[in-house]
Amino acid sequence: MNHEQEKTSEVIDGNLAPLQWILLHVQVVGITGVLLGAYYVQFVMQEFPCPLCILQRMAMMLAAVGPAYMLGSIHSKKSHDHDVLTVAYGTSILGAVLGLSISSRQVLLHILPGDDGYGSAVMGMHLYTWAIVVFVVVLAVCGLTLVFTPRLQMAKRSGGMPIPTKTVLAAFILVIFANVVTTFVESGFNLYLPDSPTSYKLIDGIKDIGGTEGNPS
Amino acid sequence: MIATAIFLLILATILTAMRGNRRLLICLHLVSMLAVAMLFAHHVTEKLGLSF
Repeated sequence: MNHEQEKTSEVIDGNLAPLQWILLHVQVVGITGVLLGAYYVQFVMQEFPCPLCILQRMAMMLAAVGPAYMLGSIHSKKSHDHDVLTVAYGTSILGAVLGLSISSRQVLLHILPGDDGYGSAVMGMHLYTWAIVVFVVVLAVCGLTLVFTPRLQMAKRSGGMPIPTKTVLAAFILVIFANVVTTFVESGFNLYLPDSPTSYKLIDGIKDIGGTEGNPS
Repeated sequence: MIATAIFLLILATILTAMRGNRRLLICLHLVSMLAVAMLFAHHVTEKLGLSF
């Protein structure tokens, strides 16, 4: 079998394929959990996310695109070849490297002694420091998966997408959609998010309109 | 609003990923990455008055 034939042939299950199936779900669930944790800090601890925090959320979502693609691909009707895995892990690595750059920059902003950092610390570290941990873990998982590809590769699954996979992907999509809404509420109709936000601009704007109508003078 | 637009772009990328459309996924992922990188560049350089 030459290289071209090998590249386009259907993938067969490696002996650790069930582990890969679990790992893909854990990756999406893990990032969804971290994004929900950020919402806990935003709404329960009443802290406003800064532009860099929002950018880190975006990078986390981009890092989870790969596993979501693989889960979609193994259950889709389209052909499933070796390129699926390389595209999946390539996109995750790109997202993680971008996120690592953003979170490292925010850590460096607050690294000087005497600087309390932005927001409250969670379990001893600020959220942007935890973000570095998340991106490093994503990179490590991608690297290890690529090293053990022959054992971890997954063949196409017959039948529809199972309920656990549907649930995981639906939760992830809901979190992204929630971020669309909350970011719009935070920025309002301004082009950029404020550097150190202290309120939700859209709500402020609505209150201002209400106040102007109530007090025409 | 730019950040909201990027989140919408990421949402489109995820939906494309789940449908298994590889070429469109790669395009949308790279466009999203570029948009995030450009917004990052804006936020880290605006106060410094740098221009590239």
